[in-house]
Amino acid sequence: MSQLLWSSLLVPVLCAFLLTWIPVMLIVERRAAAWMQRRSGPNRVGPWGLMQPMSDAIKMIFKEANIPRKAHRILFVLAPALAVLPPFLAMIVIPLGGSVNINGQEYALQAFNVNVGLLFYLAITSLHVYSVLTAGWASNNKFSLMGGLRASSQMISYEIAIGICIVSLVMTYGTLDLREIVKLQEAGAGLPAWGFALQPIVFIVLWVCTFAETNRLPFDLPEGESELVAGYHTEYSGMTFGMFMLGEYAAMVAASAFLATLFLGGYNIPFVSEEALRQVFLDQGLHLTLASAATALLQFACLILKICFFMWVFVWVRWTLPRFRYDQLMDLGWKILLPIGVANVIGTMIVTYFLKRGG
Amino acid sequence: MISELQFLVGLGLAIFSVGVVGFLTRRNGLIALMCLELMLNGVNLCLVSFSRHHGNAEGSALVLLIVLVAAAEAALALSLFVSLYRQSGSVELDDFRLLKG
Amino acid sequence: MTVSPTFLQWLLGAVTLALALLVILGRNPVVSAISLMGTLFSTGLIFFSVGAQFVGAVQILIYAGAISVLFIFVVMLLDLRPTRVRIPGRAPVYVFSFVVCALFFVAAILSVLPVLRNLGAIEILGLSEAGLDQGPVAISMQLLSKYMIPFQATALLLLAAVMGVVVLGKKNMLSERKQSEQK
Repeated sequence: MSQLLWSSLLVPVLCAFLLTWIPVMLIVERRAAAWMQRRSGPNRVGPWGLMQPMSDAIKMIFKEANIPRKAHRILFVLAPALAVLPPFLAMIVIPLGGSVNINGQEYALQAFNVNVGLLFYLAITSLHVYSVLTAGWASNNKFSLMGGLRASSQMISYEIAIGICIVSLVMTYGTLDLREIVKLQEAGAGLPAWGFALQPIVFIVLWVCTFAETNRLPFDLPEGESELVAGYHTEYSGMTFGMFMLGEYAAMVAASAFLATLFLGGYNIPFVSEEALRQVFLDQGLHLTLASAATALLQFACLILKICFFMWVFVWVRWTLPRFRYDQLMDLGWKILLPIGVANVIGTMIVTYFLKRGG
Repeated sequence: MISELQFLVGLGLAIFSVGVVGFLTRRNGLIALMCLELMLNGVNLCLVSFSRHHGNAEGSALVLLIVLVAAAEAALALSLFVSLYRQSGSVELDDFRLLKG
Repeated sequence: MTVSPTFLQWLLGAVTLALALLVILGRNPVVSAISLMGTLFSTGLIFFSVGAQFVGAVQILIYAGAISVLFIFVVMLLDLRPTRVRIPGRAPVYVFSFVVCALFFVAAILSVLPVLRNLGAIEILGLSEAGLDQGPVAISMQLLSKYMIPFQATALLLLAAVMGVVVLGKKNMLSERKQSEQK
């Protein structure tokens, strides 16, 4: 089996994985909101309202996708597609688990093993701006345009903070390869080897920036309904709107996976290394292929748990914090997060220099 | 059959030529700037393919420098056009003929 | 051993060229800006396809992710009306520039490609080796040794650009100062 074939087998699995999150998140978000606000929430469709996402999806698909008469038709339709694409593309560089041994050949559970995965992820997610900008402009609507322009300046501002954070992270790990980064956080050394212990400031800053990048509350200024109706997707209805929502949740999953990979040890199971786990399965009398597959699947499950944690925080924060004002948002990005990032780079530089000299 | 190097250099030349045509014919200042970026992009493509051909990273290093210079250039030129637009309400290059008398 | 372009590269090349043509043929500046983004992005993908992964990522990150956003941002902000591609009375200019560029393109192809064909025959390095040498480490070695001065000069240039943009972006700095002096 060639590497190409293996990758093309992994990509559909990856897409299915991302798409599965969306109905789950829909129901979790609504029920959690209801729980935090002491309401019942959607509880009519199916047992405990679990079939609610299904009915939402059916509603969206059969609703008319209206295109305003004065809109730019091509770009209006292109924008939702641009919203969905980047998170799916970004996910392909995330290592999902260890490697599977087939006929003596190790196949990594990562669709696209690129040696600059960190940069690739950033580059692809930076394309998310275009959907928002295009949607805002193509709708030919003042509120949409304002939302689009706000979103683009917000995303670009926070990308700068992210870039600075990544610099100090790269200094710590010494590589841009996401798989290498996960290997460096290998569980044998226990919790202290994980990224959030090495770079706690970067962890927090990057986490905050993630909220801004995915346009989630408290930074959802682009779609702040009290000022801009619904921002850039005011004119969208039916499945074209559904695509934006799909893109938002997929971007959240990708961002969570990225954060987990960088700071929570990726697919590593705490205190258990890949070899040790594989040995346990081998001792049970399993074939090497099966043992490695079982190990990889367990690690994948561990990654899913970590993603769940970040996704829950997304929901939790959304229903806890109020929305920022626009100038506060810009101040936070430029005057607080960016200086913290720069100071952290200098600090990391000094520490790395002395560590290298000492060791 | 052409080789990969030929293909990439040919593509780079083609993109460069498209940029030149656009730069000479379009009178919108912003589109002229975009054509400038197209030309730089064609050069980048050639540099990367040469770098690959020689098996060292010199061409790629030059591409990085070009990208940085292009970023500075785009930011400055765009803000110039914005202030031009504020003054005269147009970015059509033909509208600026103050020296024509 | 010569390496011929793969199907994927042909496809990406065609898409890149088509989008580049759309940049100069589109009536609406917004369409031009978005197809410029597409051109830069697919060029980045071509870089990936030849193994220059770091350059490809930087191309997408900075060119497609930041510079094109600036373009689109400004074009949308200025609210430009669609302009005519052809302006009557300027036909000679179009013909002239098109002919010159076509001549340039043909001459360049004719002069360069045969040389490259000969080069292609002595392409000694294997594909993987040539690709591996363009990683972040190799590029930074180049940047920090041979191209140290251009690299630092670029940093200065960026700083100058930032300052210039801030000065330009401030609305009428001089007139504001005059007003404050009068007070």
